Amino acid sequence: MQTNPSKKKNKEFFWHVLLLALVVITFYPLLFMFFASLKTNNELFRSGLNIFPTSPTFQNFLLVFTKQPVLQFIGNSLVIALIVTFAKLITSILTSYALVFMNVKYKEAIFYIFTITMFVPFSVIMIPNYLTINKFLLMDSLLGVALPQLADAMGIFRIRQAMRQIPKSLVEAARIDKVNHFTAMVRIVIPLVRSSIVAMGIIFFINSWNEFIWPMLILKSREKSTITIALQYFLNSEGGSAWGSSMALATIATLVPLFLYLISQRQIISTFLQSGLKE
Amino acid sequence: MNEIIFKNVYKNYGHVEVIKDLNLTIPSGLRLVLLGPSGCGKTTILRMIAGLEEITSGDLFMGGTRVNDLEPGDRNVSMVFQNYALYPHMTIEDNILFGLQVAKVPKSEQQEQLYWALEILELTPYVKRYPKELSGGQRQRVALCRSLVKKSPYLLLDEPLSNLDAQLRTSARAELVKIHEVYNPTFVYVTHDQVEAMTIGHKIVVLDKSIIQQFDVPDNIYNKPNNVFVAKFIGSPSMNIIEAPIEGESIIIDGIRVKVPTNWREKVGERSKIKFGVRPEHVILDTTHGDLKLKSDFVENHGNRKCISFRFGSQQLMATTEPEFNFSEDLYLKIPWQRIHFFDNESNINIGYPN
Repeated sequence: MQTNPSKKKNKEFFWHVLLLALVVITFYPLLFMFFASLKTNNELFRSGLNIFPTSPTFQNFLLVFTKQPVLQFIGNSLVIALIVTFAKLITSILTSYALVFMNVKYKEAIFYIFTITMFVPFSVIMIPNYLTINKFLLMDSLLGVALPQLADAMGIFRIRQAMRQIPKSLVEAARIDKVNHFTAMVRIVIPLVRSSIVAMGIIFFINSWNEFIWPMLILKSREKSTITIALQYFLNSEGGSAWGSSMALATIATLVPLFLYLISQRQIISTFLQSGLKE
Repeated sequence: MNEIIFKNVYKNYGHVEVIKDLNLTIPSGLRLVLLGPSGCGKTTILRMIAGLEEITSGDLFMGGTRVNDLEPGDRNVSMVFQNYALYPHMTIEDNILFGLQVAKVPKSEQQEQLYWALEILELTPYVKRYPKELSGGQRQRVALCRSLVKKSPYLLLDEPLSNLDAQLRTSARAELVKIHEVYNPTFVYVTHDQVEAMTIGHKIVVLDKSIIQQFDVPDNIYNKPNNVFVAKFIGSPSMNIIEAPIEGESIIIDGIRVKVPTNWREKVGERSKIKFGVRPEHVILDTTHGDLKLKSDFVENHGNRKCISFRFGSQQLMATTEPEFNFSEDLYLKIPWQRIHFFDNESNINIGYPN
């Protein structure tokens, strides 16, 4: 069947307009945030729908850094996010390897139990976790925030899927050569699922970085705050809402995951494009 | 020395019996082929030797020790997998040496082993390449190299040639035999290809439905099959098996009485019906006279021979002839009494041969 070239062009035009609209919708809040951080409070309320600042100023950024220990907040968030990310990756990799390559009894059942936990909403486990952390005397500590998040069913699910693409005979060949499971995992399996691991790591990191309610429940003192908690310091406690400063801090908070995404972009895209492992 | 002995070995997956009461002794240094259709349990037997499958009950001895509970790495076997199991992220060198590296064998010794093995399989120029840069045949040779450098007393091969094209297979068969002769390990080879089995094996185990049908040298597997299954599984085109009643001194084929020689008649004994087997290549055809007069059904020309099919009643008979064989529709068939087989009609077991 021949397609009319002008019709085809129309179709392409339509898709481009649609995609462009989506880009604008996705980016608008980010741009709004960034430009708002460059406005004075007065201008913010005066300018109406005009998102571009008339006279950009870094006053808000200065204010944020002088009034609050921002680096401390970033550090706190970073500590929690790194602990959570690495712990989740390690537990996911170990679990997936055992589920795929070892003779574990009832491993299908175990896997399904793990997956079920993905469907339990956070609000359901929030209270029990809070009580447990309280009993562990870990309130108002970064470890208390990280502790209930050391394993993740989504990670097990995704990394297990990736490992299942690897022919079992690769590990069997190694086992016959007297290579133990740990070495086989580190030298053979992990290199072959590396991009899935990196992608999962980024997802874990960003989720942890953006977390708000749980750290809010556990952390009380100002110097233990994460950056997400700090965002609202400018909204109430400073006498009136300092939207400009708040936006400046939000911009800073966005920069870290954005930077992380940029340096690992190639890995993420290759993971989503990867259809299967071929020799 | 390095013999492998199965004693009353069973293997179940849940309620499915994959191996039933296996008793088999594989002598040290022998080239043994496990041959059978898919699902007959041959790969399971190989994997039990490697330690990759647990044994449900019974005992497995290797080199005089019971190895049921030994880890694969402690059995000192090497194995070539059907998909070669090369590590895609490692060079050929690292693929071959991985086991030795982990075992912390001295570097100089590793290199010595590596080049010795590469030399034998003519892979030296590819040492720094990755598996994906090699052809199927070369990958298969890398897999062989990997098991060669270990020099383990047991070499296990799981259909290693099934992913190669026909031409490559012929040369690879010769290579396998050559490798075995380098250091004479106990060699266990799984295949469903009868040509591989006949050409590689000192001895062949024919398996069907989890049971050993025959364990013998290739000559006997071909010339004295234990039962109808073995008779039909080996040989191409497969053996003609014709159900035929016995009346007095004669066998009745397609309503025609053919007199049975007395030595054969004695073997048949009291049986009133028999399965009569003859290989297509042993059928004697003539255009003028013979025991049976038959009409040909169709002819296949294979170039080096002609396969002629005859049909009578519900039964079919194949005969192969020289390509030059010229014939009209009517053909006479002569029974080659020195080359035929009689099987019991009920049990399908070979009734033996007259002296």
